[in-house]
Amino acid sequence: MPAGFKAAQLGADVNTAPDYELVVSSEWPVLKILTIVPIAIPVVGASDMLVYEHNLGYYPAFLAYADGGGQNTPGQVAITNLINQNFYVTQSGLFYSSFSSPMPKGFVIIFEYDVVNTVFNAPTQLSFGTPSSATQNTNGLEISKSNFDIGSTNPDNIAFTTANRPLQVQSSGQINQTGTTAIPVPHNLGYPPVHFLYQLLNGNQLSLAEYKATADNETIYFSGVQSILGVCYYIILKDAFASQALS
Amino acid sequence: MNGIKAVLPGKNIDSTDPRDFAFSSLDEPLAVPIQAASLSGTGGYTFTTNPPEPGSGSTLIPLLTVPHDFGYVPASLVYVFMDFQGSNPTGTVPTGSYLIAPMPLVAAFAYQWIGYSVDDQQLIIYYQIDSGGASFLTDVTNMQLSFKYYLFSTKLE
Repeated sequence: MPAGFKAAQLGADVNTAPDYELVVSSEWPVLKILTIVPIAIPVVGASDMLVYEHNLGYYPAFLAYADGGGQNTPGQVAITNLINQNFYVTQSGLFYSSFSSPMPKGFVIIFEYDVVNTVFNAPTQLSFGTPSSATQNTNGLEISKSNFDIGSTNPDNIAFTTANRPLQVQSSGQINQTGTTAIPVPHNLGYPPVHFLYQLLNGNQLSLAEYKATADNETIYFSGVQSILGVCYYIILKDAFASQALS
Repeated sequence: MNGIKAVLPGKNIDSTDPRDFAFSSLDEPLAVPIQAASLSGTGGYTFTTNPPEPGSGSTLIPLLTVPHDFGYVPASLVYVFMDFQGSNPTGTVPTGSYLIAPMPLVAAFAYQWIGYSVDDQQLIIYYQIDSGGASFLTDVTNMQLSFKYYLFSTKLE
């Protein structure tokens, strides 16, 4: 057995718990945040705008949020398909498309996850089941952010806790949809999982894809919404869509 | 600096490549879901007949409000499952298949959307109908929507 650690849900034996009863395992990568980039684009230029230089040398996963975008009023933040498709990453930076509308205020979370080059399948033997509540462990591990008190009640000051299940990766890899047939990706989790799909455009621009997915207990099927996807990269997470409340 | 980190199987704990680590407390904070739930059935929202057709003007129909007490605007994700029967230009969607509205959150069938917003007090999921254009999905019946939302510890503002 490789070295590492794992934490089980309350009431589960960590030595025998199947995956769905674990809160965390060091065999499953989490989506670590590299940085949160504040966005302020009151006017869109004639060419794509470099918003942030990450210089990672790979295409990182990201999520974009707009404040007051779409039908939201200022002070309300949301992700939308369109907002995410306004942004793309290269191996060196985050860009805002010149064809997009201005975004006076927003945020982009960049993760330390190499979307294009990471072909990963969780090594753990799976047992079918549906994750249930992961919370309210009285024992466990909690780590505060640097320079913050571990006793802080502000959740933003906590870097890690076994009290809740973080987003952990089940598998990631590439698909290529060349026709209208949906592309199957086995996950074998025993439940429909949550996921992301990124699309590589123009050879070096990675953005969140406009896609739809159907899923059963073993497979996700990806396809385009209004166009064929082409080369895309999926990240399938451990979380089930239908899990019980965490809190 | 103190903290803990765990490498992925087959990687070296002394690696300097962040990609080799399952997690590290020395990184920027993880997106820990403080509040998350799946809502369906009585907790979800069900269209028992055809959803509204695109009309004139834009209409927002609040479906679900989730209060929180973080005291700031947290990072978030919402997924929607749609179970319905209907047709679109690329084929028929059979009853019982789940369309996972991908992208954090927007299930779009032209001019009709599922959207959401978050502020420092609540998350609101809504159904948005925009004016104009032909509906991407047609003949939709018995649409049932259920959601999974995450409110993360990560502070946006």
